Amino acid sequence: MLFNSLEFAIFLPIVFLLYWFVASRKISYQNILILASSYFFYGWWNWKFLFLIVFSSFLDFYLAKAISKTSKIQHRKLFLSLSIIANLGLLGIFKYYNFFIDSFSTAFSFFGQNINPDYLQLILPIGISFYTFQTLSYTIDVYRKKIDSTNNILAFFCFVSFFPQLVAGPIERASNLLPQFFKKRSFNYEKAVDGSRQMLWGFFKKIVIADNCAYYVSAIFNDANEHSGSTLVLGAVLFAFQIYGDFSGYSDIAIGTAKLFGFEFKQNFAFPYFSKNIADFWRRWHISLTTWFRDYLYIPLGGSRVSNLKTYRNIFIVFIISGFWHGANWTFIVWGLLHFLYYVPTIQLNKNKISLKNNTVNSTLSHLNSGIKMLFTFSLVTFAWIFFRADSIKDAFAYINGIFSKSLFTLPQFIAEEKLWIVLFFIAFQMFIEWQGRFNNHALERFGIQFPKYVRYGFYYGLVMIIFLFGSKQEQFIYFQF
Amino acid sequence: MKQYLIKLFIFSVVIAISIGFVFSKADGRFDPFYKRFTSSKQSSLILGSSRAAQGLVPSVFNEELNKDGFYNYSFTFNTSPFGPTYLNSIKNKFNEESTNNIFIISVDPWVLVSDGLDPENALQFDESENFLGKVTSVNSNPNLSYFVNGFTDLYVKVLINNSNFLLHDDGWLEVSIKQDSLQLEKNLSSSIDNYTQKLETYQFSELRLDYLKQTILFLKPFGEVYLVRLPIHEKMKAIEYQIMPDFDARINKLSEITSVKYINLYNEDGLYQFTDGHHLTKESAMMVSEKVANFIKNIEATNSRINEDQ
Repeated sequence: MLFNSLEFAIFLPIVFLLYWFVASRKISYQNILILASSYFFYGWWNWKFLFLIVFSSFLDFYLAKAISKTSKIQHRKLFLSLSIIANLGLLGIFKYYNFFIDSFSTAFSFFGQNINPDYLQLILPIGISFYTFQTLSYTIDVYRKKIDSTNNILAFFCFVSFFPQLVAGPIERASNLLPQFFKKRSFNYEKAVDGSRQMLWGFFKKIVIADNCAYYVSAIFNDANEHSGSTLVLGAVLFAFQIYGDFSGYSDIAIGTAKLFGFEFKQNFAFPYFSKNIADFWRRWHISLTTWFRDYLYIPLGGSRVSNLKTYRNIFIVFIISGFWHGANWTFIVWGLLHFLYYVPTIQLNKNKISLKNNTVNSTLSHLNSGIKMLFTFSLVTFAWIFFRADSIKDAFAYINGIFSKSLFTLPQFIAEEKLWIVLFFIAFQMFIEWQGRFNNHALERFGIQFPKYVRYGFYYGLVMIIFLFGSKQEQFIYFQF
Repeated sequence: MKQYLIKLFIFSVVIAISIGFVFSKADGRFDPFYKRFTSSKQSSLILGSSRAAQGLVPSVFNEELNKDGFYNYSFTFNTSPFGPTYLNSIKNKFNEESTNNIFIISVDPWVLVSDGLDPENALQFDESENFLGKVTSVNSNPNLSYFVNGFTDLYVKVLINNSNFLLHDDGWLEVSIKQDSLQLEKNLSSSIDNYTQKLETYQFSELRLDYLKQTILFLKPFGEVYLVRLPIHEKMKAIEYQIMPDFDARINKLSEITSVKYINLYNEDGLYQFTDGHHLTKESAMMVSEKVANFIKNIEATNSRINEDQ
């Protein structure tokens, strides 16, 4: 079920009312309702893949219990390995099998050996990368004795499948989300209002920004050879806003929905296009995934507490795997590699350790230096997005080649279209609102708080009408494919 | 909780009223199809693609044939080619209690072709993915089903009336564009490019021809059916000939089998003007409609004389 669908518009109020009016008496009722509605939410897309979620949930619930019951390190390692192998094995089969087969086949043909690979006709289960990482983090944390394993199977199943974040994150840690299923949730007006605001902003980013950008991005990327250099630049910039609006919009809707049910998720996007360097960007973009890789890959590899060479190796591995996590295509690996190359100078210049808060507190657009740094970082990120969006490495290079041509200095195609100007206007509007709210957890958290209520309600009304009048038609979320 | 729900309810009501207001502003200028789904069931239908939508004017037929029920239910060649989707929509739009109707079906090769791999497989007819296949009701005002499932543009268009077309209450699509020769030449050239490209993927579908026959047979019990081939620009003729060289022969055969008259104005292109090579200008649309009406009048007069003689 998509957040931006009529089905969800019916589903959410029903679940909300049942949750607070029928199931609110007991914590177990609340959890049963959450589990049932989460499975319904997922099964709406394809109920057959529910068994994968149930399997992962069962497996990790019992393996974590086994880990915590034994003090023998070898046994603990064995149970953890089983969890990792099973979870990553499923992910590997569904997501990467055809990619590896294809890559091996290509490699063999390079040496003159032609083989006909057996491809599997598999559908990628939506959200598998997200819930696999979420449930894996639980067993790893239990193994590391950071958290205790739970005996509450219902709460654990809810933790794995909670519908707002099941299919596209944020990837929540057990230490944050699981305990919330142990306590009965009481309705909190402030939290619900804040959640509604965050959802509203998420819908705006998804429906108005991302889906309208998608129209031009598809037209330009799908027919890149036919467009001028300036049009290709426009396409890349619009994709930067499309993917940000799409994914951060999804996160805002997910976090906002969770608040309606009394839950708190961690922030997943911290206004990444206001970053002043790449290290800063990665502290703000898809935070739940970045911190996952930091805690479960980078630090176990030694992090930065090893020699310089090994630190670079560790960062390289994280970026390549992060790229690969996004999809079974070399384009994502090159995207990761590019970000690694961008990241290296920030270590050299020791710019990778500035805290998020210090960095933003001192940032104002009036500060020309900050503005230039932000623009430069945005340009680097946008350039890398070309690989992320292209269907193949060859297409990405053809796209870049097309940019650096004489036609770069001509007016882009579509410039005379009214709709493009509408899209550009709303991108500017989005950036303005986000700039105002950049110190908060989401753009509308405290936006307009100084104004009277009727002004704020007028603003929310205007935003809903903008979504209705200027919203593009129902489009799939990009991150569903990951 | 109560406070939250009350506020949310009031807010939702205000939004719902605003959305209702926007939809109520939907007229014949924001979209070239919407109004056809807001009228009640109709009797004497004009069917076909955009050529018929722009080229056959119901008010002219009403006047010339002394009737008052003509309604243009034509769309475009890619949304309303003859097939299960269009036939189903026609059945929903047609008032089966009406009798003595006149049906004008505009035919040309493009409403009998398919770009699917197998042109004889109805599952590959992609018009079902368009509004005619998705809209659940074709007779409700306002038509929420069309807004939700059929309309693909931004809703703000409902409030902005800067289009160059007007969809009349009787279903006729009046298009007003600049008539300077340079613009017309540009439009013609673009149509030629566009349709020449289509030659690569589109091919004749026997199944679509069969659906045309089914459409005729569905309508026949309720009145007289006429097949009409509208004139097009000479340069467009060459393209049509390539995709279906035996078009006239097939339609003649179909008219014989189904006992309906075929009015072929294909070779009268010199008498009319086109906006882009295959759509008549509104002035020419009036002239062609009058001509078709006179044909029908003559045929009906001949028929009634024969009946009287018998």
